[in-house]
Amino acid sequence: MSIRVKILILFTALTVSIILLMAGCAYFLTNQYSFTDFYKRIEIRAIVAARAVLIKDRDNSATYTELRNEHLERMPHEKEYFLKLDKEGHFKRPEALNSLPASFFEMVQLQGKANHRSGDIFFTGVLFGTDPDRYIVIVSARNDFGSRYMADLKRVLTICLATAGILVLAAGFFFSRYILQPVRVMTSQVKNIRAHNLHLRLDSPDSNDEMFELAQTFNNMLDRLETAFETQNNFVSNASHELGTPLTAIIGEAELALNKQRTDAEYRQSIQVILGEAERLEHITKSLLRLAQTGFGGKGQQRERIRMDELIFSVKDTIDQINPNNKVEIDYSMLPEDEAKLFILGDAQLLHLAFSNIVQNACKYSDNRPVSVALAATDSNIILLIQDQGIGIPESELPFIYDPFFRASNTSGYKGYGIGLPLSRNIIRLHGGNIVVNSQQGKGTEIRITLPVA
Amino acid sequence: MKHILIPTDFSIRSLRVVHHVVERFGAGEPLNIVMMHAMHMPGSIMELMMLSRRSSHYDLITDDYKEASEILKNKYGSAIRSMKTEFLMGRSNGVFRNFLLYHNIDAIVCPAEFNFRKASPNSYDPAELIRKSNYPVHHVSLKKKERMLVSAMSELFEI
Repeated sequence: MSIRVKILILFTALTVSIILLMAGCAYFLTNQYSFTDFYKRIEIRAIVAARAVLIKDRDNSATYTELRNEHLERMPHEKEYFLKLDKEGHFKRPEALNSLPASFFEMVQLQGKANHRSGDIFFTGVLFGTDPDRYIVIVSARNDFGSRYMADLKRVLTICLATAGILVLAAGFFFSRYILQPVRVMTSQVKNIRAHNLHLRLDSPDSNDEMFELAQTFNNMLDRLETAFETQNNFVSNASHELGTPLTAIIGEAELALNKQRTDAEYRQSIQVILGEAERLEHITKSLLRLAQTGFGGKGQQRERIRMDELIFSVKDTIDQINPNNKVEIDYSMLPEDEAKLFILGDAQLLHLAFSNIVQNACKYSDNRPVSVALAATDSNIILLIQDQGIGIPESELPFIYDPFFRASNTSGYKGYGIGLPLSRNIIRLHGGNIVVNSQQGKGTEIRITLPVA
Repeated sequence: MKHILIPTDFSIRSLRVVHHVVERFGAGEPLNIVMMHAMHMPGSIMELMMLSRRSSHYDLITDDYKEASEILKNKYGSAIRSMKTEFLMGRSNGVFRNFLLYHNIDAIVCPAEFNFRKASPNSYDPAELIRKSNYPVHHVSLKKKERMLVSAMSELFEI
């Protein structure tokens, strides 16, 4: 069952049941009132009849009879009964009154009057006179006017109810259509988005309702999907380009060497070039392999307790060997007093690789200007802050720096493949850490790494 | 045990005063440091009624600030016994005096040139109150850093 049908049914049922309840109340209360009204009318008749018939005073009696005949019209099926009570309160019950229960007569004798109804016929009894001439006067009549009135009311209410039901159903039909209109629009828009037009977005109306939120959520998801798609596409094209460049160089060099007889020295030089390019190729494939390994939750790595400051020292040693001109300063000013806060659990080799990658980048892209590596510990994390004064990263390119093979637009003068940073991030994530890169183009870059304390 | 009050605007820069505090008072006895952020008492009745239940002013404490104060506490683990951040609500001398008495403050340390940054529309610079409080006030000058700053966190490093 669609939401629309559900809304329709719920709306109709709710509204109709409220109308039904109100109609029922109106009918019940009117019915009740018409009863009391009718009982009062026949009670007056009973009293007048008793006075007309039973009072011995001739003048009075004649006046009552006249009043009765001239001003009180006879009601349908109006009947009168006069039952004389003896001293013990016994009386003879006429056959026409057999349908009356005994409690009715008791009530009359006790309280002076009583009402009873059997079917359409209404009975009212009153006690009249003083001992020894005591009577029970009973008047019965049919409430034709009242029942006609009630039937009319019933008919009107039923017609109203039916009309209202139809109206509500029709209103609910349009109402549910109107409510679900944005959803239908959204569905048709989403249906149009496929892999080849991922740039399409849903229209989000300028209102702050739930539909707007839903559209916004969809759009955010599409943003992420589009980025992921692009990354995938870029990766393939970049990878084939990066792998292809050394291969082209190797093939070109080999063809050049082979196209005529050359001296030993020339062959040697060609092979040297080929070797260099092949080593580069190997380096790229190895880094790619590492990237893939660390990207998959890192199977089978050993975790040991590592002291961060020692690790940073060994990273500095490695960089000193590779690039003796570096100006890496290690800032220990914020080290915690308690050494226990400097330990983390992890794979020393991988972390060494990650940190040396990042610090090496800092040296490379700042042309060996000073790089500061600061270490600090909060209660739950170790923070490593690496700052350089290099070329920085253009702000628009910051979202892509973790894409494999991505290189910022201002790095053309520097050697690199664009694998180092993604690899470092994979390693840090593997250790439950986080890496944040802040950068201003032309001023420098600051990389903040947080790793959980062991 | 010494209790030191430092006014803060939740910038990392204001935390650097702690270095001087430890240098100056840290020898011998452990320090309890109270970082105080001053805010106006809210004006509307509704806000006043909800004041004790509401904790939206705790959102002013940024993650960077929290981390930086933890770093400082770890660095001076033996000198600093406790370091907490408190809010001063109101702007009268009496409120401030009660605050100082409640936290048992021995001395106030302020940065000499304090470029107060309003952390929220209700924040204010308590310099005036501090001057009138008759407590020993020490001003420390924070060296301007000539290095470029990329993130706020880097303010903390290098004294």
